[in-house]
Amino acid sequence: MNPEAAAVLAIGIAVGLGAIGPGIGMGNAVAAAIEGMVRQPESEGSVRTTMFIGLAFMEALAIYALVAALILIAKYVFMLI
Amino acid sequence: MQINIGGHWVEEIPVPLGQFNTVHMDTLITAWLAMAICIVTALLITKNLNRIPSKVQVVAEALMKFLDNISVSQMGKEGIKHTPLIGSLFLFILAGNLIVNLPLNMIHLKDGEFASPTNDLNTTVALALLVSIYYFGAGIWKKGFSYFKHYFKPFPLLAPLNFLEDITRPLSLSVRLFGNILAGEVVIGVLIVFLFLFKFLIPITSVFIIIMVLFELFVAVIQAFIFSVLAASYVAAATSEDH
Repeated sequence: MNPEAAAVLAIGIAVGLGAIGPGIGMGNAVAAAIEGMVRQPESEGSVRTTMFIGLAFMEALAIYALVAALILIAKYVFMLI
Repeated sequence: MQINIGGHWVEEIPVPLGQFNTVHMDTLITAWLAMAICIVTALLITKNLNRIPSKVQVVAEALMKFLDNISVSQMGKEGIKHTPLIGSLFLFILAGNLIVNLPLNMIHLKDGEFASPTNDLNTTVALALLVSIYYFGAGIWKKGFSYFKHYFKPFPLLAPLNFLEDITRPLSLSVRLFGNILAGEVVIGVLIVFLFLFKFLIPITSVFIIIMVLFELFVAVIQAFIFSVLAASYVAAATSEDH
């Protein structure tokens, strides 16, 4: 397998696997936040802000996978796209 | 068809000692454009303020209240004095994220094209380091030299982890904004390539492009909000007493 093919494969695997964990985590977080909002509608504003901050931290994990993929693109497959 | 990720119009600027600095001109121009939009809008709105507010003034006051609320919600009453930085960050990032929707890429450049200034890692790292320096400064301003004591709380063994936190904060702050904006632009670019490659899929692809563009408008606002909220929470962590 030549390096370019390996890099293309690695990009797909990195982004695909890197999206699983944050996806599950963000689903759980939003579900819990909605439950909290429904039980206590007066705390909706603060729950929403906190939820967005938490989602940002989880999303950063998926973004790291994306950045790793971008580094691989810049190094190996820039000419192929 | 080809899409070119990370292409920039690079100019070399000579610096002393016979070396060259490279500057991304497209990022520079769109960043100055975003700043100009912020400043000109602010000047136009505040030109004639009235006791009885006009329609524009009502919107501007609501926006100002929102910006105040970002820092007040993290730092309490005294957070209002940090609004100039937090609010400017929000407005600049919002203008920068939304600038990609102007038809600026009809102007052809040597390399790359005009897009958001925040799709360049240089811009976002500069903003994140600005926040970093600001919260150090705010902490030292508030507590003096005893600010550095918080590295050794709750016990001294954790000092390396606390030092590491100061590095990972600007890293995640900058990479999050960069990755979100660049990923959105790349997805729309790939969909446009699909539009030309697969002629029989044109109806489906065009619907997807419209959905993605609308989603990116949402992401632009959310990312600006998250950046400023996280900046406010870092300043709050540096200036709070209960450590």
